[in-house]
Formats: sequence, C-alpha cells, structure tokens
Amino acid sequence: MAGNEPNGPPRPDAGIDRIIHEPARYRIMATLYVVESADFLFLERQTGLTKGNLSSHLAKLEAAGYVQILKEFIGKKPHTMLALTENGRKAFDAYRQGMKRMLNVQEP
Amino acid sequence: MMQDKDIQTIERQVFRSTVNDGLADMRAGFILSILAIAPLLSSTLGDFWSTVVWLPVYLAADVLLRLIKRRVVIPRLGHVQFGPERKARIRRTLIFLLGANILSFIAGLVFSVRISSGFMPSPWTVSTVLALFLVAAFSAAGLMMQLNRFFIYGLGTGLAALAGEWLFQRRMASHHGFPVVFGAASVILIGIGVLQFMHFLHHHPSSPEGEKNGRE
Repeated sequence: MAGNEPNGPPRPDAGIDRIIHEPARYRIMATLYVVESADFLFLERQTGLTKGNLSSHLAKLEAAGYVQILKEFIGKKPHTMLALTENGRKAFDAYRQGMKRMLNVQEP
Repeated sequence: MMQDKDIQTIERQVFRSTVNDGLADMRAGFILSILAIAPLLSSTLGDFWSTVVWLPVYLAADVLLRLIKRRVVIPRLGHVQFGPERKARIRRTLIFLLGANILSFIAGLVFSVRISSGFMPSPWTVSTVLALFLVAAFSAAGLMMQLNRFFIYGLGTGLAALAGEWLFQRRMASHHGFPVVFGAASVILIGIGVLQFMHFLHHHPSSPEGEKNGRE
C-alpha cells in the first residue's frame, strides 16, 4: 500500500492497492469481478496473458486472499474454477473508489 | 485501457465472448430455413405435415450445434459461471421468447380456424405481423446475447417478409416469396455463422489436454 510522505500532505495515491494496481492483475480481478467463477483457460483467453504469467499473478492474488480456488465437477470430471473472495471483491471496490478519488483530486 | 472501462462494459464483453462463436447465427439460419422449405413441401404434404417433416432436420442441426458448443467451443474458450444478474437477464429473455412463441402458436391456431370458416386476411397483414414477430424475436436474442448484428438480422428478415410478399404480388416468386427471401436469409445467416465460427477457431487454438487447468 502506498504511504504518506513523512510530515507532508497525504499523497493522492494513498490507499491504492498495489497488488491490484498492476495492469495484468487488474485485468484478472476485473474479469473475476464480473463473473461468479471461471477456469484458468477462460481467464487466459480473456486477459491475453501467458500461462506462466497468469499462474504467477494468480499466486500473488491468492496469497493476498483475493482469489480462491474452487474444485468442481463438470460432468464426471474434476475441474478447477477460480473466484474472487469476499475480501477480493471489497478490495476491488475500494481500489476503484480510490482510483476515482485520485483522478478527481488530480483534475485541474 | 481496461481501467477506463466501466465494469458493466467489461461484463458485457466477457459475456459476449462466450456467445460470439457463430453457432447462434447458424441456429437462427436453420430456423429461418423452415420458413423457406415448408411452403415448398406444403403443396404435396399439406401445411401441417410440411412443417412437421422439417422439424427432425432442424432438431438434428440443433443437436449438432450443441455438440459443437460442448466439444469444440467450450474446450477452447474455458468454463465460466456468470453472476445472478446475468442469469436473471437470460431467464427473462428466454421467458419473453417462450411467451412470443406461445402467442404466435395460438395466433396461428386462431388464424387457421378462422380461415376454415371463410375469413381471409390481407396478405400484407400476414406479412407485416410476421415481419414484426421476426424483428421482436431477433431483437430479444440480440439483447440477450449483446450481439448487435442480431438487431440487423431482425430488421433484414422483417423486411424480407415484406419483400417476399411484394415479389409474390408481382408474380416474381411463388408461395408469398417465402422460399426465395427466407432461403436467401437462412443461407446468409448460416454463412455468417460459419465465418464467425472459423474466426473463433482461428483466435482460440485448442489447448492441449492437461494444460486447461494450469493450476491443477
């Protein structure tokens, strides 16, 4: 998270979640935000990220508690689906609000 | 840049990507082909059986399209579960389409009964009602799938119904022009669907088994 300058005014980007702020992770979060759950391949297609890239970004989001892995059965086959956690949804909402605030502050 | 897009736009884009594979266009084309073929068969089989014999052909096409969706499209696109709002919207549209179909079925029955008792509406009235039905049905489908080309299909097929009657009145086509205009419309829709499907396959190469779930 971005902090404030010591003894200075609060920075406009204070409160912006750096985990979500990375463009690839924002794309993953935005895609998962608008659906209930999606599998790895679907996210790969939607975000245009490579498998390796997507895997590493998902690992970071999972470590932050924003993304959860759901094991489901499609027909008789086990299938791994990914979804935002409640914290992930709240963090994404907060991020969008924070960005709006920051852009409003920076407007002349 | 994605950060500038409204979240609803992203949801629409994500949803549209799951239905923009050309299969819906092909299905619509097959449905229209009933309007083209049934009148040609009606002189030998009668109005009722000419439609009935074409239904298994349509059902076979429907089963084939469902198989393609399951075996070809989803393994290349991935699985997704949409949220409750989207599901409710799909349900509402399907209910509307079902209601429209039931209404048109009842209207058809009433129409048949009244014709047998001597009532003969103007051919232009019939064509206009059909045109309005096509516009409404395609628009509802376009709204549900977020595919703008379905609005154009609705307008095009609606005008086709009127054009068919116009050709028939000038003795340039038989059977109120249905075989010509709806035959052409179904070929165009199936053709667009095939092109869209090829475009989909080109941009969604098959993913080797086991790599589908990179995190397993």
